[in-house]
Amino acid sequence: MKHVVFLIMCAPLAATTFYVNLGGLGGQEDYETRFKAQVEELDKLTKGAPQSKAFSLSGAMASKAKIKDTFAEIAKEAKADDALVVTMIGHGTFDGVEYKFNLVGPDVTAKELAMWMLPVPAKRQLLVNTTSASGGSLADLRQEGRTVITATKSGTEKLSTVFARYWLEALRDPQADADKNDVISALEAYRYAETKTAKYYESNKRLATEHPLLADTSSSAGFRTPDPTKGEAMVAMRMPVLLFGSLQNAAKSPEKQALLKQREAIELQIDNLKLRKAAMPSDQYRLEMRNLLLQVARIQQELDK
Amino acid sequence: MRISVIGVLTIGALLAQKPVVKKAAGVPYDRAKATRCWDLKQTGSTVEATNCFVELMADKSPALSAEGHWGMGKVEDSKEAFEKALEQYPGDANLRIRYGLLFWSRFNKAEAIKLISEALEMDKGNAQGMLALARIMSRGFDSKAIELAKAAAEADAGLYEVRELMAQLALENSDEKKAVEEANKALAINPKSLNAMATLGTIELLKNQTTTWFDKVLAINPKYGEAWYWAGHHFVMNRRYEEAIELYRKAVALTPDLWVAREQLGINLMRIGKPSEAREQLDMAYNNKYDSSEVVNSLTLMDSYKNFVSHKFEGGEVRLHKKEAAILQPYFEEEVSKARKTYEAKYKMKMNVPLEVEVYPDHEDFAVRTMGLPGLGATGVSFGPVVAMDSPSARKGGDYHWASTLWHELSHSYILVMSKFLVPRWFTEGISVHEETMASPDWGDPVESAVLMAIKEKKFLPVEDLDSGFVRPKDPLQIGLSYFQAGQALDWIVKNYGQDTVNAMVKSFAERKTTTEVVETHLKLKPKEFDAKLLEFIESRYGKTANNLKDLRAAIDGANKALAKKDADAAIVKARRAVEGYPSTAILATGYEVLGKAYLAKGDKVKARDAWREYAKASGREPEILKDLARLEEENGDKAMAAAALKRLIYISPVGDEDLHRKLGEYYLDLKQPDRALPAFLAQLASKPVDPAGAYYNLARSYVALSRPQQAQEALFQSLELAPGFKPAQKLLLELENHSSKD
Repeated sequence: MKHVVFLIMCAPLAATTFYVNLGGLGGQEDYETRFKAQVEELDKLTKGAPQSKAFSLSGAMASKAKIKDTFAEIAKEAKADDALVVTMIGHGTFDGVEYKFNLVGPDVTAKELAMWMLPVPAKRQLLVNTTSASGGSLADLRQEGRTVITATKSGTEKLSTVFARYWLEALRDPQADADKNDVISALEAYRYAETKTAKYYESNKRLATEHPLLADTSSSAGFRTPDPTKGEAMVAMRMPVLLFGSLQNAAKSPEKQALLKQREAIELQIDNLKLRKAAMPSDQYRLEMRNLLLQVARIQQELDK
Repeated sequence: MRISVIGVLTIGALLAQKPVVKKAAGVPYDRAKATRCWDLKQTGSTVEATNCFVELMADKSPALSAEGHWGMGKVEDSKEAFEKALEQYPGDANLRIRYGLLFWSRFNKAEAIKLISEALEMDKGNAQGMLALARIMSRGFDSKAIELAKAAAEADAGLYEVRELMAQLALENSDEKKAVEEANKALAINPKSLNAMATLGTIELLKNQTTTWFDKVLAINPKYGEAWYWAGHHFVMNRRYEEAIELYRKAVALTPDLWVAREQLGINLMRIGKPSEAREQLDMAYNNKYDSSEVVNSLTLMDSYKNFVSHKFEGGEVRLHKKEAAILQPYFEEEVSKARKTYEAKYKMKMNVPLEVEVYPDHEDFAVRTMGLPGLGATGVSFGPVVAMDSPSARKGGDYHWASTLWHELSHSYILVMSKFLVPRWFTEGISVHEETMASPDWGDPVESAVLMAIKEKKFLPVEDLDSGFVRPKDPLQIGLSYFQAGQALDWIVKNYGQDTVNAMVKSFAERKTTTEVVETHLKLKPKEFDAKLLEFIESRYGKTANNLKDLRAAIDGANKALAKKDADAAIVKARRAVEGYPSTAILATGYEVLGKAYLAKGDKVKARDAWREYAKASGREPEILKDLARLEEENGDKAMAAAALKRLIYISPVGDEDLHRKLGEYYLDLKQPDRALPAFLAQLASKPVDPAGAYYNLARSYVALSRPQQAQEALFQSLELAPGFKPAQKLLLELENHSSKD
């Protein structure tokens, strides 16, 4: 997980995260209102992120042509070190062959989206498709290095979804930052939203009509509950979606870089120790871990001064 | 689906008209041959019966061959023969009835009803057909059984079996007089009516009297275990499970292959918490091809027991599903302990054994645990000191108040034991309903509109007949109405005579006094006077709401419409009209819900909070509203009230909501009540939180506040191992480290 911090620290100081927030056609007043409000909130969150450039399109503004133009613009501007985060909110359909994101005017297919994203040079890419039938888009959107998250496991889960609500919640709830490093990674946000979505159906005693998936390699079919200790979702784990609080400030203050690097070195030792946990006596593990945790805490105390 | 529809339509049509006595068309085979074989079996002449059935199997007539195979337990061959017979004699109504009964014997109720209904379509006055349907309906305590039995008796005055059935149905309804009358009628027709004798014997056993009736049965058929089976059935109806078990044991000792008795023996052993022996009996039935739904479901449920964990504490034990045990255990333990203390003081009795509570997250498992079958409407059941109930996770959040159900059932546990299981149903239900709101005024089921309408229409049963509203209700509403009536009755008795009188009444029931005797002795009222006073009491409480129900609904409807049009002021005026001056009912909660929303729409958070406080007091249970109430209380700086709002939710929807436990724990920590915060944070951790590091940190804070530094250190270790950069946890770790180094 600490590699996230490493990426944030080393590359992002010069890098930009491009956010594309898309709100599709609601079809009914309550959906129109909901999608619009969600895209507005996403716009606010992403525009407030450090070194970000957000493009938000919803309702009549989110036409096929505008979306295509937006990606073309990003493709011109973005560099390899940059990141691209695309979020789709709305209704989707799947006819057994092709996924379509419902828009005012002609719909856009997953293949078209994939094609428009292809020229964007940013190596780190995340696409979050929260629509109904979004599982049907997975095959077309997968690409090496790109994390794709869908609200449904297949194109046949056609009912409207609640995943978007919890994805947004993940971006504003500090609890989603499970490792408390002030970065919400794609994996953390996914886990948060997936858990909350499942609990929504459980507590309402409703049969779950959406089963989210995360896929982060071109060959992966996607994981429902990815486990990085088994090598799953390693790209998603390293893909930052948003930065929180002090890290934003720290990123802007070069004088604390030395302390940050020192902290990172110890955090790497912690990661290594965890990997050796099963092979060492429990007491020794606990002693070593405790010492490392105390060191990190003391460095943080210095950083916070 | 079509099968059921045919059945229902036929029964409806049948009951709507007076049966026509008409003989079935003659058939070219001698049915008496089969009757003789079954009679031999009934009287215990096993060898002769076997020879008789073997002979029938080889009969040229498939109708008789079917009976022979059936008698020899060859169900599939019998079925095949019946099919052939039906091809030969498609107009033979009796053949269809017999075939239907074969299906019934193999637990296929739908096909049985279909065939018997077809027979009755052909021959409307067929008494055997009506009797067969009555038997099927009686198994599900359907009140149509009585009507069908009456119709069958009218169609054939010489049919003693229908009198046997009517005697049993009357006894199920606690109508002893009628039961004796019907049993005697059966004996007048057939002096060897074994089931009539069994009913008469059961009546005496239920009164703890000695009886010679079973000796008479055994003199006719020494292997007639069915007599003891029926006795056991009626003891179960009276919740005297231990005695029922002994009767079932006698049944299977006499007739080892009376599988229905083994089935019931197993189910009742489960009820009193003896799963190993229960399993033995159920396995035996199943392995002998008695695969009734009750047997199969019970065995399946027992297989799932490995997923339950047991937690013992002083005076009690709770068994919870592994997946939610850590969340629910502290809350269940707290309530069981509190209820035990309260009831022992109130009823002035000590329970000599621990109170055992089984909690099922799957409602159908609870139903199987209770009845052996899914589809039970209840949420809890008491088998004396053993209680089984739905977990809060078995129901949609807001629909179910588990603590209220727990206190209800535990009250039964005490009253059943105190009355030696002789208390009538209405009285024990009345006490339990009364206790729900004694535990807390906002507990219990709020009075629904259907009950309010029934109040207006004075649809109550006389107290002497109130038990029938529970055992064999005429319609689904009557059950709810009977609970309400019984609860009100006990409210009235406690209010006017005090708890000591209630206790004295229970003791009189233990001495086998009837409702009439108990009411006359302790309340100094004739039952009719009691009914009149109770009605007066109910009307004084709910008459105004009942009489204005239409206007109240219109006011709420108007308020909702005004709210939809964003006219909050109009919504407030209308909603106020629906709440001011009315007692607590479901409609009052709805009124306050709309009122709160209208004030929120206006931006008046203080008045919205006040409305939602009233909503909660009126048993409003919508989780989102209660959470919003907590938020408004917090915004107003009153964390104690915020915690109280969330604590209500713990009793309603505590599973699958980590935020509820986290917030509650945080409120308690802020209120310097770490002892209350700790179980809340333990529940958060057990809810598989999205933020486990945060949950461990919360635990650590509670331990620090409780001066338990070692546990705090451990919780912090867990938290930081997951999230080494978690600043608040780091800070607390350093504080603890500094503190311990100073020591």
